[in-house]
Parts: sequence; C-alpha cells; structure tokens
Amino acid sequence: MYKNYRPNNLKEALDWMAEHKLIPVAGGTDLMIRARNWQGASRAMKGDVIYIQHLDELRFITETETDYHIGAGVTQAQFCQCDMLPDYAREVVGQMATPAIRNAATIGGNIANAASVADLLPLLYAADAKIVLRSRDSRRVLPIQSFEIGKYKTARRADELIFEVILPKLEIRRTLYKKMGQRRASILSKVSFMALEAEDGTRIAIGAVNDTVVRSKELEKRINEGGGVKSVLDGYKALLHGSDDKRSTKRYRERVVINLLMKWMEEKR
Amino acid sequence: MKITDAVHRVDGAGKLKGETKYIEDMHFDNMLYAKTLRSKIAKGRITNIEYPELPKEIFIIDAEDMPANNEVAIIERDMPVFAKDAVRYLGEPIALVVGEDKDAILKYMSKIKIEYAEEEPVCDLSQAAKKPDHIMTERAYEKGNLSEIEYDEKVTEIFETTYQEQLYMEKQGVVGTVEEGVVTVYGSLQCPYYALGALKHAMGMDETKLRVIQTPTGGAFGGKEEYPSLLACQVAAAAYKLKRPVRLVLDRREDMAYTTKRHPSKMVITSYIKDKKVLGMDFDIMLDAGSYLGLSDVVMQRAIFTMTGGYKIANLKMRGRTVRTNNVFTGAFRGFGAPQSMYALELHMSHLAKHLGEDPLKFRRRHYVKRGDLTATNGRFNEEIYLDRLTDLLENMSGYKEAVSKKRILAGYGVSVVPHGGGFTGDGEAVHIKAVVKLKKESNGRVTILVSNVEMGQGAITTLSKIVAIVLEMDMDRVGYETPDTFKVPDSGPTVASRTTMVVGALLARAAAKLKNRMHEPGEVIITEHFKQPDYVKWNAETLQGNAYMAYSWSVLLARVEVDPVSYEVKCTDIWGAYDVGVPIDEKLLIGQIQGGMVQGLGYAIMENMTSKAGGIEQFTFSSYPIPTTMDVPKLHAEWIINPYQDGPFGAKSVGELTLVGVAPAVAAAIEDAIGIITSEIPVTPEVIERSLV
Amino acid sequence: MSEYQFVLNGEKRFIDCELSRRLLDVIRIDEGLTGTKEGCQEGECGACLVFIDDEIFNSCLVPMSNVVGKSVVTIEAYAKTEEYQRIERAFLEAGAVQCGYCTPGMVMAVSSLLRSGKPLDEDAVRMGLSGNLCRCTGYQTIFEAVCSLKESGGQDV
Repeated sequence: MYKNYRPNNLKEALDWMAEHKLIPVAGGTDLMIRARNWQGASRAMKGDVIYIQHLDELRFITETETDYHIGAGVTQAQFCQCDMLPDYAREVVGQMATPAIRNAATIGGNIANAASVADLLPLLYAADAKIVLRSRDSRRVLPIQSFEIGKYKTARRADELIFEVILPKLEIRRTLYKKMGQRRASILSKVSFMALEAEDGTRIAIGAVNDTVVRSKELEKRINEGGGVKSVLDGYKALLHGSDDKRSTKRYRERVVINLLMKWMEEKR
Repeated sequence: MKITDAVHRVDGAGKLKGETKYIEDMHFDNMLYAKTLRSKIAKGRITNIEYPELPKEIFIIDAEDMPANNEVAIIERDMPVFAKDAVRYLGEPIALVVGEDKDAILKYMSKIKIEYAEEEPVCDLSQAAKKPDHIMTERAYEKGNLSEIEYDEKVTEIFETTYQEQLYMEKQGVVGTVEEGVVTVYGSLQCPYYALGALKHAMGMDETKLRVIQTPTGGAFGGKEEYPSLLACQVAAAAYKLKRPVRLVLDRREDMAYTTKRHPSKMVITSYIKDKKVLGMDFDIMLDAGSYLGLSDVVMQRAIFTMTGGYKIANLKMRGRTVRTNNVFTGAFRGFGAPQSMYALELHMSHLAKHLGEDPLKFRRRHYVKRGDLTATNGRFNEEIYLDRLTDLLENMSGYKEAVSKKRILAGYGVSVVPHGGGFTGDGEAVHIKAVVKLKKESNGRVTILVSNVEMGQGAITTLSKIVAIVLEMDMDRVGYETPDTFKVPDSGPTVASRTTMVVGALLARAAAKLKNRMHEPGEVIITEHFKQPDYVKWNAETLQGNAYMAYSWSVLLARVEVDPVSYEVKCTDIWGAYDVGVPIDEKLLIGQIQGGMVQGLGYAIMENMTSKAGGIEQFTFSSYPIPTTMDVPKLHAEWIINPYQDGPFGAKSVGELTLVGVAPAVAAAIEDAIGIITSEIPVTPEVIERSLV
Repeated sequence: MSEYQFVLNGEKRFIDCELSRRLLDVIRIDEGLTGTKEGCQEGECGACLVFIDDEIFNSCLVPMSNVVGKSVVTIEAYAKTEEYQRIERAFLEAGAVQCGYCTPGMVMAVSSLLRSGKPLDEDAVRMGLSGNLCRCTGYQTIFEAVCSLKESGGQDV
C-alpha cells in the first residue's frame, strides 16, 4: 500500500518532495482515473502520493507588462472565468472536458500529464509559454517544448513541482483553434490545432497527432514570407507522424491538419 | 382523462430525489462481494489453475460448485456458467472470487495463476463464415420465383455494421441470497422468468426453491435480457454454497468489454429492377454471434423476416446465418436484428432512387404495402397500413419538398421508411411465452397489477397502471404495481420485443374489464387472463411461412445534416419522424421513447464505433466509446397518426424498438447527400467520410 | 481521531479513511447515501455529481484530501430545498425522467446552471449539462424542463 501525504503549505510539500519519491495529485481528474478500481476498494496508485490541490500558493493569476503568470493549481474553470486572460486562451480551456471536470482539473495537471491529447499544450506551444518548476533548493524556467519531452514524459525532476505557467502577452490579430473529437463535448482530441497571428506573424501548433505538439518556426517563417503553399504543406506533412488507434486514423488526422493549414493560409490572403 | 393524455410518471419523484434503490444501493446483512476471474486469452484449453492458499473469508466459486448443470439455459445450453476446461472468448468467466473485503479479494486474485494451451482464435466474421463448423445456424426462405423474373437491371451492394453497446447507465448487477431455504436472486434485469428458467437448470431445483426479484433497473435496452441469466446462475451457486448474500456488480470496463452487445453484420443485397420498380430482392446477412449462440438465431430471424420493410416485393430469396467467432458473445439490443437489416435495405433504397434519378420518398411510395398484401413470409398484413398518409405527414411537418428542391451546400437530407413488428415472432407468444397476467382487487378497493414485465425506464409501470385505471374508471394512485418477483407474479413473459404495452397491456385491459363487473364484491378478487393467439396469426416455424408478427408499427423519417468540409465532422441538425403506433398510451411516454430512440440511433449512425481486435473489445471505457451528449443532439420533431389496432389496449401497438431502427439509414443518406459520397458502413465517422471522398 | 474534517450535508465529519479514498465511496458506502450513483467510474457520465462548496464535482474523481475543510452536499440534502422542488416539478411535467440512473446527477447540474445566473436558453442548457450523459431520453425533455424554470423565475434562486 502506498502512502498519502497532505502538506500544509508549499514549503512542506517541497521538503517532502525532496526527501521522498511522490506522485503529485491536484484535481485528480487524470490520476484518479488511472488509479480507478472496484467501487469502494483502494485506489490503485502507482506509488506514494502527495496532494496539492489545496495549496493556496499555487492558485494565483497575475500579470506583468509582458506576461501572465498562472499558478499551477488554478483550475480550468478559474482560468475560463478570469477576465484578465486573453479570449483566445480562455476559449481553448472552455472547450476542455465538462463543467464539473473544469471545476477540478488544474492548469498544472494538464501540463504535467503530458498526454499527447492534452488540449492546453498547442496553445502553450503557440504562445511560447514557459513553465516554472520549483524544488526545495531550486527554481527552473523551461520553455514549454523543453518541458514536454515525450508522450507522458516531462523534464520535471522527481523533487520538483510545477509552480506556474508564464504566458507571454501577445498582440493577437487572428486565431484559428479547432479541436476534433468523436463528438462535440467531453471528448479526447483526435486533432487539436492552434494557429495564431501575432505581431511577429503566424504561429502554428498541432496537438494529438504526434507524441508531442508539432511546432516549426522554420515553416512559420515560410508562411510569413508568403512561400509556396505546397512547400509549406509538404513541410508539415514530413513532420506529422500520426498513427491508427481506437479513436481515429493516421490518414484522417494528417488530412485534417493539411485542410486546416490550407484554411489558415487562404484566410490570410 | 383520455388514454393519450400525459400523466406524471409513477416512479419519477423517487428517482429524482435519489431515493430509488438500485441493486448497488441495496443493503443485505452479512453480504459478501464477488469479482469475476476471467480468461486472459480468446481461445484455448485451461491446463492448470493455481489458487494460492485461501485466506479466511475468501472463497472460490467455479464450475465444480454448480449443483446440477454448469450450463446457462438460454435457448440452447451451449454456454457454461463457468469455463472449465476450455475458454472461448477473452474475458470468459472462470470463477467468482468472493469475500468480505474488496481489497483482499483483489489482492488474492492478483496471485492466481492460470496456464493455458493457447489456440489460434477466429475473430474475423468473413473468415469464420468460410468455415462450415463456424456456422451456428442458417435459415432461408423464398417467395415468388426470383430466378425466372425478367428485369432491366440488377444492383448489388454490400453493407457492414459494427458493434453497438447498450451503455445503460446502471451497470449489470445481481445479488444472490438464501432466504428460508429459497435461493433468491435480486437483479437489474428485464426478464425474471428467463433468469428463473436458467436457475432451475443450473441449480436443479424447482420454482418453489428458486426465486427471482427484479430491482429498479437503470436502463437495459436489451442488454439485460439474456445476459443476467449468466450472472444469476453465478451468484445463486455462490449464495447456495456460502449461505450468505453475495453481490456481483460488474465494473464498468468489464461490462463494456465482456457483456452482450449488438451483432456486427455483413449484408449483401441485390435488387432486380424493372420499369423503375423493385421486382425482386436477394438478401444475405451474417451476424457475428461470438462464441455462444445466446439469442443470436432469433435476432437473425427478425433481421430476415422484416427484410422487405414497408415494401411489396413479389420475388425474394432470403438467407441468414449466425457465425461463431472467438469474440464476445452478442445478443439483444433494441431493434433485435432490424437495425442491421433496415440500415441495409433503406440505404439501398435511397441508392436505388438516386441511381434511377428519383426522389427517395417518391420511389419508395411506389412499393408501399397495404392491408391484405402478402408479407415477405407470405402472411397477410391484417391491420390498416397508412404509409402514404404517414409520408404526407412527414413531408408536411418538415417542409420536405421545398427543402430538398433548394440548392444545398454541405447540407443534406436523407429518409427512411421502417416497420417494426410488435411482440414475439410468429406464434412465439402463443407457443413459447403463453403470457399470464393477474389483477387483484384488495378488500380496501385498491387494485394491484401482477405481471413479470419490468420498469427499466420505458414507463411500463405508468403505462400499465394507466390502462387498468382507465378501464376501471378509477384514479391511477389506487392502482398498484407488484414488484416483478417470481413468488408473487405470474409469467407474463419477458420485457422485450416492444411487447409490454401491446401484448401485456391488452391482457391487463381485458382483465380490468372483467374485474370492473366485480369491483362491488367484498374482499379480495383475483382475475387471471391468458394470452390467446388472434385467428389471423398463422405461422409455420419449420418453413418460416405465415404471419411473422401480429401487427406492425411504422415510422417515416427525415434527417438533415451538415458536414464540415475541413474536418468532415457531421452535425445532425434535425430529425423528423412520422409514426403509426396505433393509439399511444400517454403522449409524453411516447415522445420519451421516440426521442430516446432517435438519439440512440443517431449514435449508431455516426459516432458509436466499437471494434474488436484479436477477440478483445477495443473501446471499453466511456472516454473511448462516445455516445451523444447534450451538445450532439439535433432538434427532434415527432408527429403521429391515430390508427387503432383491434387487439392492442385502447388500440395501441408497439413503440420502443421502432424509434431506433430507422435512424441510421436516414442519417447515412443525409450525409451522402451533403457531401456527395456513397457509403456502405456505419457508423459514418469523419474517418469514413474522408476515405469515401474521391 | 483524524485531524481532517469536512462537512457533509451540513454535519461535521472526521475523515478516518485513506486520503486517496474517493468522495463517492465515502458518500455511498461509508455514509450509506446512495442517491449519488456510480456510472462510468471515470468522470464522463455525471451520475456522481455532488456540490463541494457550491460547485459541482464528479465525486468519482475526488480524493478525500480534496474535501478537507469543505462542505459537501449530496442529492439527499439538496432534495429538501425549495429550489429542488421547482426542478422536480419541471422534470415531472416535461417527462424528463426515464430509468432514473442519471437523474440525481442531472439535478445537481441543473442546480449549478440555475445558480450560475446564465440565461436559461437552450444553448446554455446544452453547455451546462454537457457532462451529464443520459441514454434514455435523448435530452430534449430535459432541455424543456430546464428552460421552463426560466418562466418560473430561474434567475432569483
């Protein structure tokens, strides 16, 4: 049987994280499913657990001149309801899961989970977000793509907690967000596509196709410079490594991405 | 009050407050929990099972513990209660592990070692159908003379459908107990007497020592028709051995992966056309029955008996086969074979209309059956049939003609015309079911309904109470409904085949009419009523000739969809339905059945994709098997005509299954219309649409 | 005795179980309040919705650690409120109950929608109930029931 830790504050949490190998649980909307078990039986956690949902130090949304700072413990519902945050970001979070799940699920949880279908990630990639990690003895800031290193794999060290997300303020001129699922609500993405046109041009992030989000600054540059549509599409095709699974097919996923890219480029003209 | 006027459901308030006790909510003193030990392979022999030493309060129940027969009596007795030497599908039950503490049970189960001599499973339906020993049953009939007709052209199409999971919100569950020497099974189930029949065979006891009590049932849709017989035998054996209550409630993943679901099918249909009319049809259907026959042969018969739908077609050749595979065994699900065959027929009819350059409804109208016509099986349609009137109603309520005459971009319309026979096939009600109902007047003047038909959401209690109350001209709240309990209620048959209102309701109406004359008598009065087959039903079960059903209900549907050209996602915006269900008993309950059936049918049409890989169901969680949410449902429009049926209560015919059956072909045709493709499989997912685009 | 407490339907409770135990199991098994149902076991169906500090949660995914110091309300207590009475009437009138298994969870989601102050038009109702699956009704009678609450003063509850 595993142990359950419930720290009184962030410092205590980081102290314990430094001393034990612990699985952080926030809203529970992912880990409690993975640990599901017969009604009434113990949850099948894969190791000792530390609960962090109640830590107020992780629940804040602030802004500076250049960035928004979003605490890892902010729930999806709080994110959606926060007028300070930009609409394009709130729209993405508003399409995630269901009202009740959004009351529990946290921003940090979706990032830490690092599922290939995590719907926050295309947004964070496109926005060049950074992840702040804290341990008892250190604080690290990683660009999102350095943090998400594979399917269900992140650069978080065992003694670290995600502390906050830094979302740069962008001057957004145009967006295209499309989440494709098997139905219209409460569904894991088959494709999750985010395109932004900021002051420095197009940014495109494609989720749920490869193990991690696809983003190519080189191809974005080609789009910004008005390069040939075919060369752009071919460039993205070469980057996509979708697969057939119980939810969709490689062929469908890649075709839809190409359609969305074409739509984005056509709308530009 | 008119019979059609809506009333509040009898069981509504208790359900809203959360007071209704479903099987997992019920308390039994001294109860033990059971978990199923299952096969981890799809086919093979069990060479050894190593059970670690049993701790105190952990018990194993397996084939050795079956008092009489280790067989589940459904129609055949080919399925064991517990697999003993061989396993035939992934997840097949081998034993129950029973105990007081769930964690201790799980811990013990993790240490059990089973060794198998694995064999190559046969999982592909087409491959299996090529092996003669995999054809479980085959049935065929002909009409007219297909080989000698003259025709302009013939059109052949192949259609495929996949699994559909009932996905009732309440998981399968039963509790076995021994109460005063009687082995009693409480359960979420549709057919108390089916379970009792299975128990008699497995336990070797009679109905005085065995008892089945239905508990409030949180949805069933056919999924709790035959499957609970297996679970009942398992917990009965456990309770009998341990002399304590034993509860078996499946985990949702077990329920989705290992219990019965709608049969995957492959169908070949050939039409012979002369002067823009179908003169003859050749239809061949095979169903993946999985590893045991269950009800599959009956499902297949319904598929072929109603195969010509609402059309008069003089020359027919029909064949149906149930095919054994090492997939999970398939079974009853709302529609019972008709959703597959009517999908094929109706999409085929839409394709033919398009091929002939005609409006799909106009083309269909030329073939409509009417009273007195011969059915596919050479019976006579006995009741009035108003397909033209229904089609007019649909066209008017939907503005059909104007809508389809306009140019449409990425929006499309599709139609279907579908019958559904109420009650058991052929003479089944008289020969197999022999329904008996009782009405009891208490000395205080209250009246109690005694039937074995259960409330599972469809409104049976309300409908039946209302029929009795109106015949007796008394308030509904003075009519009670006895819990279906085989110690208390007679066998009025299973709660299946859209028969509860039409067949059982009619018996109760007759009983109530008799009771009415005796209401003034002091003390208790009991009226018993037996099913009598109407004279016009003639059926030969050997030749499959005669009236396959007593009476048919009808629907004419129109679906409208929009297709996203970027993502190929389908948005169904509207479904219109015109119905003939005789006379509806309570309009609100009718609407509830119609709308629920439409949405379950929509799921079947576009999103509920369930597949099997190497014998294992791939989508066994809610997150991988999508059913429609509030965001997916279209506007649902329903109207009906009043067409009293002489042998139905107040003229009522069947409703429940009909409402699902016609949806998939209408929606599939609408998608084709919207984006200019031809499809031959459901669900029509965005992936299928993308693949079909040239 | 445990250092952790929460409030269940207005009464103080000590948390004596593992902190990983689901709120759903505490409600149903430890407390015997069976109005809250387990449907899917993975936060998809909404049959287990309860209020925690006035917001709806899927109790099948809530570890007891996350309710420490909080107030939980289940259908049993909610059914005693006047607001519930209005929902009950609307559901009965519209014929929005069939098998009943999703119903208590649906009632909690409707209540949350009422309290959100959003106008009760069909789009808002669809969004608000998007986490509650019903296999029987096709939802339309439920939409009618909820939209009818607008006429009887849905904003002022």
